[in-house]
Amino acid sequence: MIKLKLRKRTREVDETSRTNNSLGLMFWAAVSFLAVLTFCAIFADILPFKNPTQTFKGFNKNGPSGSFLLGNDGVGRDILSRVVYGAQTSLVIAVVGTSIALIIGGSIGLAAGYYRGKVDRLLTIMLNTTLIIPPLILFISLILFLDPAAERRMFILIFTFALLSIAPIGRVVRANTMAWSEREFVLAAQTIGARNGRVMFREILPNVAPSLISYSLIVMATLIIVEGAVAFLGLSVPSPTPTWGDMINKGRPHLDVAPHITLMPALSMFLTVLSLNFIGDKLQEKFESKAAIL
Amino acid sequence: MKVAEDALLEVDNLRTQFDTPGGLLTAVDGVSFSLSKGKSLGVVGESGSGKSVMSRSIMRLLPKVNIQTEGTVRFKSRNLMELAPRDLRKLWGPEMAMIFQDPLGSLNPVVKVGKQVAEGLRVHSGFSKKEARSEALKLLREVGISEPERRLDEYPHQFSGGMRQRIVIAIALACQPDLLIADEPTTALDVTVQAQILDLIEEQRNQRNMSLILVTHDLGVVAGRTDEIMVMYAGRIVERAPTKVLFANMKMPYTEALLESIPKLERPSHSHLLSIPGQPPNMIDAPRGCKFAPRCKYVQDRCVEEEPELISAATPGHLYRCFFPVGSAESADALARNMANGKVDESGSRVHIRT
Repeated sequence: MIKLKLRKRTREVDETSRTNNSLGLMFWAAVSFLAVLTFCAIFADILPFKNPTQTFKGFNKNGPSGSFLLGNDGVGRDILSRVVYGAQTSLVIAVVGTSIALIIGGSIGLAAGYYRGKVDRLLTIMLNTTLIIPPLILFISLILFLDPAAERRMFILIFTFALLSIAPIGRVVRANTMAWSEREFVLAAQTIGARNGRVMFREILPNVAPSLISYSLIVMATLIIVEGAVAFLGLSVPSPTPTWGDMINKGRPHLDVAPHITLMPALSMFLTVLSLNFIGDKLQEKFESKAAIL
Repeated sequence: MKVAEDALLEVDNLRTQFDTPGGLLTAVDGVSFSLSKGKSLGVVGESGSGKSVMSRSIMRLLPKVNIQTEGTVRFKSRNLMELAPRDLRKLWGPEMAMIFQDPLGSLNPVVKVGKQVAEGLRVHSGFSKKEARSEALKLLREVGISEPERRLDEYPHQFSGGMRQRIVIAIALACQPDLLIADEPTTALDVTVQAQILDLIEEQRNQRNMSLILVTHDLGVVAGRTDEIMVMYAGRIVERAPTKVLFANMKMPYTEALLESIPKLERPSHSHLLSIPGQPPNMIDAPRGCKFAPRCKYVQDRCVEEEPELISAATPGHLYRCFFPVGSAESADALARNMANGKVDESGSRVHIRT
């Protein structure tokens, strides 16, 4: 007689482990990378990083070593601490720029998608108008006219980035709002006497939010790249404040002898953008599969 | 038409037209009725008979674009047609509320159920979050949801269809409306759950002395539940009577056909389900005479030529719209003539329908 042995398997399926599994290891790796980067950037002054503007004599173009983990740049500054301080600039510009665009573009998109008709036409024209601005020319002219002395570069950068991101975000929100406005629960909310503002923010916005969040992460990643490109042209926050784009630019002449000077900031930018995109995509996937169940 | 003294809702000559690319479509055509406080009215008709559009017109819920609504709707002697959106919003909830067909569709998928039930209270009664929550708890218990404390914090997808409709009812009842319009509240539900939901609505109506308009395509749903029944066809009232009178002594061939199309147990198994042949008329270019004439087994030349008026039957409160009312000598005569000339076959249904 064959004995069948039934082994009872107990596996704890709590909420966190389930989300863990479905989002995948890469998602959490990306989240942890961004978390560490953000943490270092915020507490850079407290953490034991070297002064990012201090030049260490005799260490010019040195590769990674025990005391300088990512090596030294062309004038002997510590690349690790410059990468961390550079992250401050990149993250502040990306986060603040996207947030402003999110508030303005989100409101415009909600109103356009909910009210439709004339309001929609007017707001869509406004959004499309911002799309015809050539970004680089706007930058250069703003910087030339407003800030030749490079004092308020940061604000100009954030302002321009926000302005350019309003239209894409607004369009995503508008399209989503239109789809959700047709749903019966919106009508149901109206029949119990909810005002338009309440319907928009309490009923529609929570439904639009998931795709909005994942899209704004991708906008954030784009802004980091654009900031790098602008810095490469020398139009970003001026030296000696470290920015990734500026570091890449400054490392160019030494590419043949000391490629790490360019490589390290480029790598951190690459990883940051990759992480943001990855998180955005994964969240989108997750929300979509959830929406399919509903 | 005599209007009751204590009428809560009076609809007079309501007409709703849609401006479509094919022309002006008349969805509701001159509907008049009144509803007293605490009474219930069942509105029955097949798909496209204008019953949903009528209920939305009364609530003034239709979008403004390409839609024209005429006539008056008096609610507590205020004409709803003249109210500004701001005043309507004050009415929706505490005065009149509506339940829709699809319970999942009428709930917001990403908002907790308790919050949705509490929303009306927060909007109208100025309740604090805490008060509204305890009131929502009470409401959920009243509509028969078990463990309301726990379920308050769940999302709509965690509920079954019947439970969702109970929540929708709780939302509608939250602000103690005087008039509840239920637009096919049980159509999306399992048959076993239907009766429970209808009983719940009936029970709450009695408790609150609320008036009810129950819109449905199923004569079986309103039978024995509402005080009166109004049968609609092609946007018009074709028969209206107290429920008992209607079932005992129906006059309109359409009502008869509707009733015959409900399967009955005493019929032998595997017998054909009876249906009404043909389709409702195209409401952009409706036929001149009686709208039901093309599908009616009693049809005579007169029916195609002129449209019958809504006339009173012998029993008080019974109105119908037919030249050859069911059960009369004229109709038997008409049916015999139709059978003789081949318009109707032996089983008594129309043949060769042109639409």
